[in-house]
Amino acid sequence: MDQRQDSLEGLYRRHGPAVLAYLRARCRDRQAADDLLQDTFVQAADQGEGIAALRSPRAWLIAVARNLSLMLLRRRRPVELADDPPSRPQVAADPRLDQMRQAVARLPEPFREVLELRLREELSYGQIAQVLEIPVGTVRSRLHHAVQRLRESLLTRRVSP
Amino acid sequence: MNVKPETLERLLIDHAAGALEPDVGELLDAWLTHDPQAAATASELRETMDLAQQVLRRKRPEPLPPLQVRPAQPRRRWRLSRLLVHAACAAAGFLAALAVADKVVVPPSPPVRIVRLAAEPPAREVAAASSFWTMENLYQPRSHSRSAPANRTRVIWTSPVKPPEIRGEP
Repeated sequence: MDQRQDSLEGLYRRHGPAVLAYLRARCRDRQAADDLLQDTFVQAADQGEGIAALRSPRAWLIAVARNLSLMLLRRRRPVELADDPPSRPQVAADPRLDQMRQAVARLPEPFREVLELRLREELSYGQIAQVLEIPVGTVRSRLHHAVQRLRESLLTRRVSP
Repeated sequence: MNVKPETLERLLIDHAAGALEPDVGELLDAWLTHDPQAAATASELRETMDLAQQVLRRKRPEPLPPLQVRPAQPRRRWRLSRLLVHAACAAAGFLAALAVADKVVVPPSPPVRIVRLAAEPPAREVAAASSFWTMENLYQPRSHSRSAPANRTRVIWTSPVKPPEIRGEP
């Protein structure tokens, strides 16, 4: 029992911060994010030793966290989950960052989600495919579309006065 | 140049996303030194990815709340223990039923007296049954009184371990 608890706590220390950051980025409600974090690790505890045998426990945990947050989205009012990145005004030293922030906010959800999982969570294509339960080719395709759109957006801003 | 522009662009995006194997990345970098147009595209894509990463990057690590989860018991042991509980309950119930059954005192029953009436002729019964739903019977109610048998016998059975005794009645 103590060994399993140690294993679970080790998993929590290693991957908890990433899962919490992921959930806080998705949820506007901090308390909801904290609750979802605990729920995610409840599911990890239910897995027992099986989770240690996974190739990527972090991808598994983020997949669970994502599903739980989607369930919360269905149960509660949609405004409690951050479907869009926070749009609070930030004074950026580089004006291109503002452009990029707006361009990211305009991306369709499937493209933005893949981009976030790659750049923020630093998951590989295979791990993103595991989280989103889609083929790796679809992950690549969505990421390419996202990057193309962001690039075009920056180029348009450069051209326009 | 043999590679298609679309294919090259996909490679460049994968490269900017850090998703290429190191040896493939090195080959691509070597290619870009000979293809200035592709190198310009690669530069734009890298800039795009860098900016997106800065926008999406976490501001600072959040303090982690304490873990409030305990690991679950192994399922196999849980099933075994549950089975044992069920077995113990069943055994206790069986023993309790035995104890109650021992304490129940059945009062001795009086001797059973079986009186066999003299059988009426079966042919008459059949005839009566077949002629029951007749207009005559429907409109003329039958008399329920039965004639007393000519002679009666009595069966007296005092104990299940003794054969019944048949006595005639005058």
